[in-house]
Order: sequence, then C-alpha cells, then structure tokens
Amino acid sequence: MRAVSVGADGDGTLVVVLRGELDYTNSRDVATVIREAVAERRPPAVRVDLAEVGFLDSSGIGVLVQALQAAEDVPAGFRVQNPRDKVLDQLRISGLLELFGLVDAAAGPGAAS
Amino acid sequence: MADPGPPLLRREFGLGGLVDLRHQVERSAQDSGLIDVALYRFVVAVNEITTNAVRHGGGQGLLELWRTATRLHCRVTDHGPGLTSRPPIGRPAARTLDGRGLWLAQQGCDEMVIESGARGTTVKIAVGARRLPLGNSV
Repeated sequence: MRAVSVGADGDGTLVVVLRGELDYTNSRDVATVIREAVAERRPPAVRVDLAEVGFLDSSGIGVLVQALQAAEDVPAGFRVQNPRDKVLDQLRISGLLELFGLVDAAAGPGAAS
Repeated sequence: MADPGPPLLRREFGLGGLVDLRHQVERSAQDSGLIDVALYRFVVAVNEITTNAVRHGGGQGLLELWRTATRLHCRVTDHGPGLTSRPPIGRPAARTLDGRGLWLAQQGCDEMVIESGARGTTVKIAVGARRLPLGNSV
C-alpha cells in the first residue's frame, strides 16, 4: 500500500490521499510526489485526505506544510480533511488548524467530515 | 527519581529500526496504562527523540523504557557530536518545515531533560500520574 496517491475530483481539485504512518523515513518521498503533482497539474484547489493516516511525526507535519506551500505557489486553494482525533489534536497543538482549513472540524466531535 | 525497575524495553537502533522500535514503544506504553491521545503523544515524543539521534546523533542510539511507581520513563542515548540547539521555548511558527521535533516531543511528556556534550546526547522524558493511571502513590 502506497503512503500517497494523487487523483482528481470532478471539479479539478487535486485530491491527495495519505495512508499509514508518515515519518522521517518516508516523508521526503511523499513530499516530492505531492509537490510534483501540484506543480504539473496546477489545479484550482488541493485537498489532502488524512482519514487513513494513523501516525504523523514532525517530518509528516512538514509534508503537509510543503503541500500547502506548493498549493500557494500555483496559487490553489488548500485544505486538509478527515484527520483522526489524535492527529487532529496534534495539528491543533501545532497551531495548524486555520492554515489547513480544519477550524470547522475542530469545533466539535463528528464534524471532521 | 525512584530506582528504575527492570527495563520494559532496551534496544539499540538506527534508521532502519525506527519504525519497528516505535511500534514496540507503543505496545509497551499501552501495556503500562497510557491510552488515547496521551499514548499517541508519548509515542510521537519518543519517535522524535529517536529520529533526532539518527539524524543528528551519529546515526544510531540506545533506547531504554522503564516504569517506576508513578511514572513511565524513556531515555535515548547517542554518541553524536552533541545537540547545537535546544527545544524552542514557544511553539514553532506554523509554517516551520523542520525544527518542530523537540517541541512536539515536549508536548507528549511531563518532563524532559537533555544532557548534551561533545561525546553525545542523552534525552530523558517521563510521563507521570496526570496522564498515567498508575495507582495512588504520587
């Protein structure tokens, strides 16, 4: 199972699906896949789905920030969606909810989708 | 600090062993009573420290995990050139790409002690009764 796959929505949004555990050992490769896809396709928006991510370390958070920067370079909209509770907690304490468009998801349990 | 009991885990590691070691730490911490977000944060903390040892501490290190009556402790030792930076006091900027590791580690423990010199670095962390339901002898 690949840690990252990239697809497109009907409206042209680039959908990045991350899976499993993102850490120092794989973050560089994952970030490269995302940056190249965003730069090549120049979508109107980028959405990163974390539903299948069970672990994220500081390198993995760095991947998300790089994805945000790649989107801004286009420029394209950017949003992270569906983090599990523990990952949402991690992004909250890191101060990233607003940048990642997760403020609504943080408003209450069950609002993450 | 109370006398360390027998280690729950004692392992040397390098880059290739980081993921497997993280899984072992998670199992041991869970067996010690950590759950949910506290468990996740602790595993993140240990992982940041072992990753630092691999990246900046000469490529490998030794991890020891043990319990005392009211705390779960972890010590990571490496023989690298020593840390050049200390954990940031405040939260790193949101857009930080690198350099968030030790700060994130601090969020997963109640105490962190770093001893670093030319012969290597030792990072000790502990989680205590506030996060760990270990009994009543606080």
